[in-house]
Amino acid sequence: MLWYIAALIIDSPFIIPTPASVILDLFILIKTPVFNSMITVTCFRGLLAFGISLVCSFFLGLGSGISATFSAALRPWMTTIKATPVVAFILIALLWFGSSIVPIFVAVLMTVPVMTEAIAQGVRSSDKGLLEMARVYHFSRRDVLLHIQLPSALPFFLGGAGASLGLTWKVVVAGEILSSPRMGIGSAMQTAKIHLETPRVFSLTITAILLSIITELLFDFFIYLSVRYNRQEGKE
Amino acid sequence: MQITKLNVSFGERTIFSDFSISFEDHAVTVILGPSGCGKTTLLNSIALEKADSMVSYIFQEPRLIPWCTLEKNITLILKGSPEQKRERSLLYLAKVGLEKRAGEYPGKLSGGERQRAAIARAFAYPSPVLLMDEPFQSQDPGLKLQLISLVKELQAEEKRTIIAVTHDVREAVALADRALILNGSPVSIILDTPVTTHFEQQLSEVLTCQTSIW
Repeated sequence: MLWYIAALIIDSPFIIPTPASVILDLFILIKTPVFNSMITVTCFRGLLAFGISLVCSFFLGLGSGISATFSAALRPWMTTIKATPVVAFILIALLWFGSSIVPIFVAVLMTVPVMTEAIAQGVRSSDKGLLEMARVYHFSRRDVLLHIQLPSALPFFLGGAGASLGLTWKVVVAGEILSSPRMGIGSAMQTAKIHLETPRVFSLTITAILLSIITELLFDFFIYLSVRYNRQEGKE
Repeated sequence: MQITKLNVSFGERTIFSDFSISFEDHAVTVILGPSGCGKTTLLNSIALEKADSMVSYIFQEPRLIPWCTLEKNITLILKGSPEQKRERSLLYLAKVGLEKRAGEYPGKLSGGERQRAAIARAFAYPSPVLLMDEPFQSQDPGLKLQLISLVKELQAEEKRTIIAVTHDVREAVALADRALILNGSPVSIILDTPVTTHFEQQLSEVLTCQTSIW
Protein backbone atom coordinates (compact mmCIF):
# COMPACT_ATOMS: atom_id res chain seq x y z
CA MET A 1 0.00 0.00 0.00
CA LEU A 2 2.79 2.39 1.00
CA TRP A 3 4.70 1.36 -2.10
CA TYR A 4 1.62 2.05 -4.28
CA ILE A 5 1.05 5.48 -2.67
CA ALA A 6 4.74 6.38 -3.04
CA ALA A 7 4.68 5.32 -6.71
CA LEU A 8 1.57 7.48 -7.30
CA ILE A 9 3.08 10.53 -5.54
CA ILE A 10 6.49 10.32 -7.25
CA ASP A 11 4.85 9.38 -10.54
CA SER A 12 8.05 8.26 -12.20
CA PRO A 13 8.40 4.57 -13.18
CA PHE A 14 12.20 5.09 -13.38
CA ILE A 15 12.37 5.84 -9.64
CA ILE A 16 9.50 3.83 -8.14
CA PRO A 17 7.46 1.65 -10.50
CA THR A 18 3.94 0.69 -9.39
CA PRO A 19 3.46 -2.74 -7.78
CA ALA A 20 1.28 -3.76 -10.74
CA SER A 21 4.03 -2.99 -13.26
CA VAL A 22 6.57 -4.91 -11.16
CA ILE A 23 4.29 -7.97 -10.86
CA LEU A 24 3.62 -7.83 -14.59
CA ASP A 25 7.36 -7.61 -15.26
CA LEU A 26 7.95 -10.54 -12.90
CA PHE A 27 5.62 -12.70 -15.04
CA ILE A 28 7.39 -11.54 -18.21
CA LEU A 29 10.75 -12.30 -16.56
CA ILE A 30 9.65 -15.82 -15.56
CA LYS A 31 8.66 -16.54 -19.17
CA THR A 32 12.03 -15.40 -20.60
CA PRO A 33 14.25 -18.28 -21.81
CA VAL A 34 17.21 -17.16 -19.61
CA PHE A 35 15.22 -17.06 -16.36
CA ASN A 36 15.75 -20.71 -15.47
CA SER A 37 19.48 -20.66 -16.25
CA MET A 38 19.86 -17.39 -14.32
CA ILE A 39 18.18 -18.86 -11.25
CA THR A 40 20.11 -22.14 -11.61
CA VAL A 41 23.48 -20.38 -11.81
CA THR A 42 22.77 -18.13 -8.81
CA CYS A 43 21.43 -21.11 -6.83
CA PHE A 44 24.52 -23.12 -7.74
CA ARG A 45 26.81 -20.29 -6.56
CA GLY A 46 24.81 -19.82 -3.36
CA LEU A 47 24.67 -23.50 -2.48
CA LEU A 48 28.33 -24.08 -3.36
CA ALA A 49 29.36 -21.11 -1.19
CA PHE A 50 27.12 -22.33 1.62
CA GLY A 51 28.54 -25.86 1.37
CA ILE A 52 32.17 -24.68 1.38
CA SER A 53 31.37 -22.36 4.28
CA LEU A 54 29.71 -25.19 6.24
CA VAL A 55 32.74 -27.47 5.88
CA CYS A 56 35.31 -24.75 6.71
CA SER A 57 33.29 -23.42 9.66
CA PHE A 58 32.75 -26.90 11.03
CA PHE A 59 36.47 -27.55 11.38
CA LEU A 60 37.42 -24.00 12.41
CA GLY A 61 34.56 -23.83 14.94
CA LEU A 62 35.41 -27.21 16.35
CA GLY A 63 39.08 -26.24 16.71
CA SER A 64 38.14 -22.93 18.34
CA GLY A 65 35.70 -24.59 20.73
CA ILE A 66 38.17 -27.22 21.86
CA SER A 67 41.42 -25.25 21.94
CA ALA A 68 41.75 -21.78 23.47
CA THR A 69 45.09 -21.33 21.65
CA PHE A 70 43.52 -22.10 18.28
CA SER A 71 40.64 -19.75 19.10
CA ALA A 72 43.07 -16.96 20.04
CA ALA A 73 45.07 -17.51 16.83
CA LEU A 74 41.90 -17.40 14.72
CA ARG A 75 40.28 -14.39 16.40
CA PRO A 76 42.29 -11.59 14.65
CA TRP A 77 41.53 -13.14 11.25
CA MET A 78 37.82 -13.44 11.99
CA THR A 79 37.67 -9.89 13.39
CA THR A 80 39.43 -8.52 10.29
CA ILE A 81 37.10 -10.38 7.93
CA LYS A 82 34.03 -9.18 9.85
CA ALA A 83 35.28 -5.57 9.88
CA THR A 84 36.16 -5.44 6.16
CA PRO A 85 33.41 -4.05 3.88
CA VAL A 86 31.93 -6.64 1.49
CA VAL A 87 32.64 -4.35 -1.49
CA ALA A 88 36.35 -4.28 -0.62
CA PHE A 89 36.45 -8.09 -0.74
CA ILE A 90 34.56 -8.10 -4.02
CA LEU A 91 37.04 -5.67 -5.60
CA ILE A 92 40.05 -7.62 -4.31
CA ALA A 93 38.50 -10.92 -5.45
CA LEU A 94 37.87 -9.40 -8.89
CA LEU A 95 41.61 -8.84 -9.20
CA TRP A 96 42.37 -12.40 -8.17
CA PHE A 97 39.64 -14.55 -9.73
CA GLY A 98 37.29 -14.73 -12.67
CA SER A 99 34.01 -12.88 -12.25
CA SER A 100 31.95 -16.05 -11.77
CA ILE A 101 34.02 -17.15 -8.76
CA VAL A 102 33.91 -13.77 -6.99
CA PRO A 103 30.36 -14.15 -5.55
CA ILE A 104 31.22 -17.61 -4.19
CA PHE A 105 34.52 -16.50 -2.66
CA VAL A 106 33.01 -13.43 -1.01
CA ALA A 107 29.96 -15.33 0.30
CA VAL A 108 32.27 -17.91 1.88
CA LEU A 109 34.36 -15.17 3.49
CA MET A 110 31.30 -13.41 4.86
CA THR A 111 29.58 -16.47 6.31
CA VAL A 112 32.54 -18.43 7.72
CA PRO A 113 33.05 -16.11 10.75
CA VAL A 114 29.32 -16.27 11.64
CA MET A 115 29.13 -20.07 11.54
CA THR A 116 32.58 -20.60 13.07
CA GLU A 117 31.66 -18.51 16.11
CA ALA A 118 28.31 -20.31 16.44
CA ILE A 119 29.94 -23.77 16.38
CA ALA A 120 32.73 -22.74 18.75
CA GLN A 121 30.15 -21.37 21.21
CA GLY A 122 28.20 -24.62 20.93
CA VAL A 123 31.27 -26.75 21.66
CA ARG A 124 32.19 -24.48 24.61
CA SER A 125 28.66 -24.72 25.98
CA SER A 126 28.89 -28.52 26.39
CA ASP A 127 27.44 -29.59 29.74
CA LYS A 128 30.29 -29.54 32.28
CA GLY A 129 28.57 -32.31 34.25
CA LEU A 130 28.56 -34.60 31.21
CA LEU A 131 32.22 -33.79 30.50
CA GLU A 132 33.08 -34.67 34.12
CA MET A 133 31.12 -37.91 33.79
CA ALA A 134 33.01 -38.70 30.56
CA ARG A 135 36.33 -38.08 32.34
CA VAL A 136 35.40 -40.36 35.26
CA TYR A 137 34.31 -43.16 32.91
CA HIS A 138 37.41 -42.76 30.71
CA PHE A 139 35.64 -41.78 27.48
CA SER A 140 38.03 -41.63 24.55
CA ARG A 141 38.66 -38.18 23.01
CA ARG A 142 36.69 -39.35 19.98
CA ASP A 143 33.66 -40.37 22.07
CA VAL A 144 33.67 -37.07 23.98
CA LEU A 145 33.69 -35.21 20.67
CA LEU A 146 31.16 -37.44 18.95
CA HIS A 147 28.71 -38.01 21.78
CA ILE A 148 28.97 -34.87 23.93
CA GLN A 149 30.64 -31.89 22.27
CA LEU A 150 29.28 -32.17 18.72
CA PRO A 151 25.66 -32.86 19.72
CA SER A 152 25.91 -29.92 22.18
CA ALA A 153 27.10 -27.73 19.30
CA LEU A 154 24.37 -28.89 16.91
CA PRO A 155 21.64 -26.35 17.84
CA PHE A 156 24.22 -23.53 17.65
CA PHE A 157 25.49 -24.92 14.34
CA LEU A 158 21.99 -25.06 12.86
CA GLY A 159 21.22 -21.55 14.15
CA GLY A 160 24.44 -20.24 12.61
CA ALA A 161 23.80 -22.13 9.37
CA GLY A 162 20.26 -20.70 9.13
CA ALA A 163 21.55 -17.14 9.63
CA SER A 164 24.39 -17.75 7.15
CA LEU A 165 22.04 -19.06 4.48
CA GLY A 166 20.20 -15.71 4.30
CA LEU A 167 23.51 -13.85 4.31
CA THR A 168 24.83 -16.11 1.53
CA TRP A 169 22.09 -15.05 -0.92
CA LYS A 170 22.61 -11.37 -0.13
CA VAL A 171 26.36 -11.58 -0.66
CA VAL A 172 26.13 -13.79 -3.77
CA VAL A 173 23.72 -11.36 -5.45
CA ALA A 174 25.84 -8.36 -4.36
CA GLY A 175 28.92 -10.13 -5.74
CA GLU A 176 27.13 -10.80 -9.04
CA ILE A 177 26.05 -7.15 -9.29
CA LEU A 178 29.59 -5.88 -8.85
CA SER A 179 31.49 -8.55 -10.74
CA SER A 180 28.86 -9.03 -13.48
CA PRO A 181 29.51 -12.64 -14.46
CA ARG A 182 27.81 -13.88 -17.66
CA MET A 183 24.77 -15.26 -15.84
CA GLY A 184 23.07 -14.66 -12.52
CA ILE A 185 20.33 -12.66 -10.78
CA GLY A 186 22.82 -9.96 -9.75
CA SER A 187 24.20 -9.66 -13.30
CA ALA A 188 20.65 -9.28 -14.63
CA MET A 189 20.00 -6.59 -12.01
CA GLN A 190 23.11 -4.72 -13.09
CA THR A 191 22.06 -4.92 -16.76
CA ALA A 192 18.53 -3.75 -15.90
CA LYS A 193 19.97 -0.83 -13.92
CA ILE A 194 22.18 0.24 -16.82
CA HIS A 195 19.14 0.15 -19.15
CA LEU A 196 17.04 2.05 -16.56
CA GLU A 197 14.57 -0.87 -16.38
CA THR A 198 13.50 -0.11 -12.82
CA PRO A 199 10.53 -2.58 -12.80
CA ARG A 200 13.00 -5.31 -13.85
CA VAL A 201 15.37 -4.36 -10.99
CA PHE A 202 12.41 -4.64 -8.61
CA SER A 203 11.17 -7.94 -10.05
CA LEU A 204 14.69 -9.40 -9.86
CA THR A 205 14.94 -8.22 -6.25
CA ILE A 206 11.65 -9.99 -5.50
CA THR A 207 13.05 -13.13 -7.21
CA ALA A 208 16.15 -12.98 -4.99
CA ILE A 209 14.01 -12.51 -1.86
CA LEU A 210 11.76 -15.44 -2.85
CA LEU A 211 14.83 -17.58 -3.48
CA SER A 212 16.14 -16.76 -0.02
CA ILE A 213 12.77 -17.47 1.65
CA ILE A 214 12.29 -20.77 -0.21
CA THR A 215 15.78 -22.06 0.65
CA GLU A 216 15.36 -21.04 4.30
CA LEU A 217 12.02 -22.86 4.44
CA LEU A 218 13.60 -25.91 2.80
CA PHE A 219 16.45 -25.73 5.31
CA ASP A 220 14.00 -25.56 8.25
CA PHE A 221 12.01 -28.46 6.76
CA PHE A 222 15.21 -30.49 6.35
CA ILE A 223 16.09 -29.89 10.01
CA TYR A 224 12.56 -30.85 11.07
CA LEU A 225 12.75 -34.08 9.05
CA SER A 226 16.19 -35.03 10.34
CA VAL A 227 15.19 -34.39 13.97
CA ARG A 228 12.02 -36.49 13.51
CA TYR A 229 13.98 -39.26 11.75
CA ASN A 230 16.61 -39.34 14.50
CA ARG A 231 13.91 -39.56 17.18
CA GLN A 232 12.12 -42.38 15.35
CA GLU A 233 15.26 -44.34 14.64
CA GLY A 234 16.73 -43.78 18.09
CA LYS A 235 19.90 -42.33 16.62
CA GLU A 236 22.10 -39.70 18.20
CA MET B 1 41.65 -48.88 49.85
CA GLN B 2 43.68 -46.00 51.26
CA ILE B 3 44.15 -42.32 50.71
CA THR B 4 47.30 -41.00 52.33
CA LYS B 5 48.50 -37.47 53.04
CA LEU B 6 45.83 -35.68 51.06
CA ASN B 7 46.37 -31.93 50.80
CA VAL B 8 43.69 -29.72 49.28
CA SER B 9 43.36 -25.93 49.56
CA PHE B 10 41.04 -23.42 47.95
CA GLY B 11 42.85 -20.12 47.96
CA GLU B 12 43.92 -19.47 51.54
CA ARG B 13 41.46 -22.00 52.99
CA THR B 14 42.96 -25.39 53.74
CA ILE B 15 40.40 -28.17 53.37
CA PHE B 16 42.63 -31.20 53.82
CA SER B 17 46.08 -31.15 55.37
CA ASP B 18 48.02 -34.44 55.42
CA PHE B 19 44.68 -36.20 55.65
CA SER B 20 44.76 -39.98 55.53
CA ILE B 21 41.84 -42.35 55.41
CA SER B 22 41.26 -46.01 54.68
CA PHE B 23 38.15 -47.70 53.34
CA GLU B 24 37.12 -51.26 53.90
CA ASP B 25 37.10 -53.25 50.65
CA HIS B 26 33.77 -54.68 49.43
CA ALA B 27 31.80 -52.67 51.99
CA VAL B 28 29.70 -49.51 51.92
CA THR B 29 31.28 -46.59 53.74
CA VAL B 30 29.24 -43.46 54.19
CA ILE B 31 30.89 -40.11 54.75
CA LEU B 32 28.73 -37.77 56.76
CA GLY B 33 29.33 -34.17 57.61
CA PRO B 34 27.87 -30.68 57.43
CA SER B 35 27.46 -28.93 54.09
CA GLY B 36 30.70 -27.52 52.74
CA CYS B 37 32.93 -29.54 55.08
CA GLY B 38 34.76 -31.18 52.17
CA LYS B 39 32.85 -34.43 51.62
CA THR B 40 32.50 -33.98 47.85
CA THR B 41 36.08 -32.67 47.65
CA LEU B 42 37.23 -35.89 49.32
CA LEU B 43 35.20 -37.97 46.86
CA ASN B 44 36.62 -36.04 43.89
CA SER B 45 40.13 -36.44 45.29
CA ILE B 46 39.58 -40.21 45.51
CA ALA B 47 38.33 -40.21 41.88
CA LEU B 48 41.41 -38.24 40.83
CA GLU B 49 43.79 -40.42 42.81
CA LYS B 50 42.28 -43.55 41.29
CA ALA B 51 42.02 -41.99 37.81
CA ASP B 52 44.37 -44.61 36.34
CA SER B 53 42.27 -47.48 37.61
CA MET B 54 38.53 -47.80 37.14
CA VAL B 55 36.14 -45.93 39.37
CA SER B 56 32.37 -45.67 38.98
CA TYR B 57 30.63 -42.51 40.06
CA ILE B 58 26.98 -41.82 40.80
CA PHE B 59 26.51 -38.07 40.82
CA GLN B 60 23.83 -35.96 42.51
CA GLU B 61 22.13 -35.66 39.10
CA PRO B 62 21.96 -38.72 36.78
CA ARG B 63 24.23 -37.09 34.15
CA LEU B 64 22.90 -39.26 31.34
CA ILE B 65 23.63 -38.08 27.81
CA PRO B 66 20.20 -36.76 26.75
CA TRP B 67 20.55 -37.58 23.02
CA CYS B 68 21.66 -41.18 23.66
CA THR B 69 19.29 -43.99 24.57
CA LEU B 70 19.67 -45.64 27.98
CA GLU B 71 21.40 -48.59 26.33
CA LYS B 72 23.83 -46.30 24.50
CA ASN B 73 24.52 -44.37 27.70
CA ILE B 74 25.82 -47.60 29.20
CA THR B 75 27.52 -49.15 26.17
CA LEU B 76 29.54 -45.95 25.75
CA ILE B 77 31.44 -46.58 28.99
CA LEU B 78 32.10 -50.26 28.32
CA LYS B 79 34.89 -52.02 26.51
CA GLY B 80 34.54 -55.11 24.30
CA SER B 81 32.65 -56.14 21.20
CA PRO B 82 29.33 -54.42 20.41
CA GLU B 83 27.46 -57.62 21.34
CA GLN B 84 29.23 -57.90 24.71
CA LYS B 85 28.57 -54.23 25.49
CA ARG B 86 24.92 -54.52 24.50
CA GLU B 87 24.49 -57.67 26.56
CA ARG B 88 26.04 -56.10 29.65
CA SER B 89 24.07 -52.88 29.34
CA LEU B 90 20.78 -54.78 28.99
CA LEU B 91 21.72 -57.01 31.92
CA TYR B 92 22.22 -54.03 34.24
CA LEU B 93 19.18 -52.19 32.92
CA ALA B 94 17.22 -55.35 33.73
CA LYS B 95 18.69 -55.33 37.25
CA VAL B 96 17.25 -51.87 37.85
CA GLY B 97 13.96 -52.74 36.12
CA LEU B 98 14.53 -50.66 32.99
CA GLU B 99 15.20 -53.36 30.39
CA LYS B 100 12.01 -52.48 28.49
CA ARG B 101 13.05 -48.87 28.28
CA ALA B 102 16.58 -49.52 26.99
CA GLY B 103 15.79 -47.85 23.66
CA GLU B 104 14.31 -44.71 25.21
CA TYR B 105 15.94 -41.35 25.76
CA PRO B 106 16.53 -40.03 29.31
CA GLY B 107 14.13 -37.14 28.65
CA LYS B 108 11.22 -39.59 28.50
CA LEU B 109 11.97 -41.03 31.96
CA SER B 110 10.97 -39.79 35.39
CA GLY B 111 13.62 -38.44 37.78
CA GLY B 112 13.68 -41.71 39.72
CA GLU B 113 14.02 -43.79 36.54
CA ARG B 114 16.88 -41.61 35.35
CA GLN B 115 18.69 -42.11 38.65
CA ARG B 116 18.08 -45.87 38.36
CA ALA B 117 19.66 -45.76 34.91
CA ALA B 118 22.64 -43.90 36.42
CA ILE B 119 22.91 -46.63 39.07
CA ALA B 120 22.79 -49.29 36.31
CA ARG B 121 25.57 -47.45 34.46
CA ALA B 122 27.74 -47.24 37.59
CA PHE B 123 27.36 -50.96 38.33
CA ALA B 124 27.74 -51.98 34.68
CA TYR B 125 31.15 -50.30 34.68
CA PRO B 126 33.49 -53.07 35.83
CA SER B 127 35.23 -51.08 38.54
CA PRO B 128 36.11 -52.27 42.01
CA VAL B 129 35.33 -48.86 43.53
CA LEU B 130 32.03 -47.00 43.30
CA LEU B 131 31.71 -43.41 44.51
CA MET B 132 28.35 -41.81 45.24
CA ASP B 133 27.86 -38.09 45.81
CA GLU B 134 24.47 -37.62 47.50
CA PRO B 135 22.78 -39.50 44.65
CA PHE B 136 19.35 -39.61 46.32
CA GLN B 137 19.29 -36.01 47.51
CA SER B 138 16.75 -34.72 45.01
CA GLN B 139 14.38 -37.70 45.31
CA ASP B 140 11.25 -37.79 47.47
CA PRO B 141 11.50 -39.95 50.65
CA GLY B 142 9.63 -42.98 49.21
CA LEU B 143 11.70 -43.05 46.07
CA LYS B 144 14.88 -42.51 48.07
CA LEU B 145 14.23 -45.72 50.04
CA GLN B 146 13.52 -47.63 46.81
CA LEU B 147 16.79 -46.44 45.27
CA ILE B 148 18.74 -47.27 48.44
CA SER B 149 17.35 -50.81 48.52
CA LEU B 150 18.20 -51.13 44.81
CA VAL B 151 21.82 -50.18 45.50
CA LYS B 152 21.90 -52.61 48.44
CA GLU B 153 20.55 -55.45 46.25
CA LEU B 154 23.17 -54.78 43.60
CA GLN B 155 25.87 -54.45 46.25
CA ALA B 156 24.85 -57.79 47.80
CA GLU B 157 25.52 -59.44 44.41
CA GLU B 158 28.63 -57.52 43.41
CA LYS B 159 30.46 -56.59 46.61
CA ARG B 160 32.08 -53.40 45.36
CA THR B 161 33.92 -50.94 47.57
CA ILE B 162 31.31 -48.19 47.81
CA ILE B 163 32.08 -44.77 49.24
CA ALA B 164 29.01 -42.60 49.56
CA VAL B 165 28.71 -39.00 50.66
CA THR B 166 25.55 -37.76 52.33
CA HIS B 167 24.33 -35.41 55.00
CA ASP B 168 21.22 -37.51 55.65
CA VAL B 169 21.71 -39.72 58.71
CA ARG B 170 18.73 -41.97 57.84
CA GLU B 171 20.18 -42.54 54.37
CA ALA B 172 23.50 -43.50 55.97
CA VAL B 173 21.81 -45.94 58.35
CA ALA B 174 19.85 -47.54 55.48
CA LEU B 175 22.85 -47.85 53.20
CA ALA B 176 26.12 -48.18 55.03
CA ASP B 177 28.24 -50.79 56.76
CA ARG B 178 30.48 -48.13 58.21
CA ALA B 179 30.17 -44.38 58.76
CA LEU B 180 32.80 -41.67 58.93
CA ILE B 181 31.90 -38.24 60.19
CA LEU B 182 34.03 -35.38 59.01
CA ASN B 183 34.23 -31.86 60.34
CA GLY B 184 36.56 -28.96 60.92
CA SER B 185 38.98 -26.95 58.89
CA PRO B 186 41.27 -28.60 57.96
CA VAL B 187 39.02 -31.64 57.93
CA SER B 188 39.40 -34.35 60.54
CA ILE B 189 37.48 -37.54 61.25
CA ILE B 190 35.36 -37.04 64.36
CA LEU B 191 33.67 -40.43 64.30
CA ASP B 192 34.56 -43.70 62.55
CA THR B 193 32.15 -46.47 63.41
CA PRO B 194 30.32 -49.46 62.00
CA VAL B 195 26.69 -48.67 61.30
CA THR B 196 24.73 -50.70 63.83
CA THR B 197 21.43 -50.17 65.57
CA HIS B 198 23.26 -47.90 68.05
CA PHE B 199 24.62 -45.66 65.33
CA GLU B 200 22.01 -42.93 65.67
CA GLN B 201 22.54 -42.83 69.44
CA GLN B 202 26.32 -42.65 68.96
CA LEU B 203 25.82 -39.87 66.50
CA SER B 204 23.61 -37.84 68.79
CA GLU B 205 26.30 -38.11 71.49
CA VAL B 206 28.90 -36.83 69.09
CA LEU B 207 26.60 -34.06 67.96
CA THR B 208 26.05 -33.02 71.59
CA CYS B 209 29.79 -32.62 71.98
CA GLN B 210 30.23 -30.92 68.58
CA THR B 211 27.61 -28.20 69.11
CA SER B 212 25.54 -27.50 66.00
CA ILE B 213 27.83 -29.00 63.41
CA TRP B 214 24.85 -29.76 61.13
